[in-house]
Amino acid sequence: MKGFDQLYRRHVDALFRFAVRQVGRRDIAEEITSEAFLALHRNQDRIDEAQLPAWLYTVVRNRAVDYWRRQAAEQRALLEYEQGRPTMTEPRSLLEHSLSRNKALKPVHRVCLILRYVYGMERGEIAQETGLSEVQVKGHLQYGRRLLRSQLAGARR
Amino acid sequence: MTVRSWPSDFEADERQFVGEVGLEAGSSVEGCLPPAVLRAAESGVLPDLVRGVVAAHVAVCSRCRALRDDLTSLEPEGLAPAEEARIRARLAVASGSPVRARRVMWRPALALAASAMLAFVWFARDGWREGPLPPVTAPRRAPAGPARTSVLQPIKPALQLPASVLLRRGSSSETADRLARALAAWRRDGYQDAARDFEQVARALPSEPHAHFYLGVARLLAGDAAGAIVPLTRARRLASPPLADEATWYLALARAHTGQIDAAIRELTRLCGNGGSRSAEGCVALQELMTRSP
Repeated sequence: MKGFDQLYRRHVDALFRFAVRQVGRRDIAEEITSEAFLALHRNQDRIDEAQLPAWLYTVVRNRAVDYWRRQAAEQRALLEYEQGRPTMTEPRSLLEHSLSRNKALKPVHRVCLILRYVYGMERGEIAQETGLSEVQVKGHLQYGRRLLRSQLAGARR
Repeated sequence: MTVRSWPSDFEADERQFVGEVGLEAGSSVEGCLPPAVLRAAESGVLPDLVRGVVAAHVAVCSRCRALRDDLTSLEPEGLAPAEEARIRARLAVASGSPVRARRVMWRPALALAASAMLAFVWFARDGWREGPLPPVTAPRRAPAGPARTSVLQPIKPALQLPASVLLRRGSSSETADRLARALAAWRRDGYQDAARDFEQVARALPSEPHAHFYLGVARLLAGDAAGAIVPLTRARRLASPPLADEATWYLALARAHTGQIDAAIRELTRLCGNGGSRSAEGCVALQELMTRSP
């Protein structure tokens, strides 16, 4: 097998992005990515190079399943509550009505606007949830507010 | 989802905006699911119970359905340098061997920074030896010319002593005299003398973090890295940022210079990840420390 360093450099970025998609948080994705490469380091004598990178992705996926299993156990009471609750069927706020109508907004803008002004998240939290940087989040929010304001102003005229 | 108030980092323009679109704090997300759960639902990694809840909810909730669709269309940003440094730090500590940094080629500005960093480390490697770092010699002010050879060689920090130091309980005219002598010695780079007087000041003012901080740094710059560890640890415990970050930085250097490489890596990992005043330097130092020859 090629050197561990070489395998790490080749696969770490893509594996990290995959981990973010699985768990939705960059900090957890960091831990899971580390664990995958640590597992590779410990088992590199036993792993056929032809199995890579699929082997790494399988480790990440298994860790993600474990993570969500732990989360479900901690949030069991909340989930049971949610199962019994009535859910909203239509957007309640003017913001959400406007988001669905504004074609200039891309998914990344809508996500940032919803998480910020409906879910009330801080920029750092949005960055963690979306995989963006805080600077990008700030920029998307500014752009989104500008577009929505011009849309609302046009509607009033 | 639990109901929330506006985030603590809200700006004035945002307060105005939420008023314009008729939003109120803490009123909007009852019954909806966490975004991370919505995103993970598409990956097939959720337990059956959670998956069932999500499926039932998004079938009737247009907000969560739209948010799920938007979230799953986002491509996460790749590893930031600080994140990669933390991954390599974990691997180095757990496996006992350093891992070389990957080459960042996908953006010109970052590629330039990565090349500069590699050249920096390569240059430093020529003089590198096994075991503890070379003794601290000829401490100098931050150079105006070419960069120093190793980021792990301590540089004298700016003297920023708040006037409140001498207003603390326990302060006296003798303490003020000691402090004045310590500062005079510090300014002329007489670190052994400065350390001796800072030690007396720290004894008289045990709860003053700056006294312990400058005592620790003076000892480090005087070549007594081992003697710097206790006062810097105390300074960090007593201080808040940015002084706490400064204490952590010099503590990492002291650890490295006494051969406590694992402890130095832990300190630098903490700095690299906290986004504080020494974060960028902490990441560079972490990479430098972990690319040393075994």
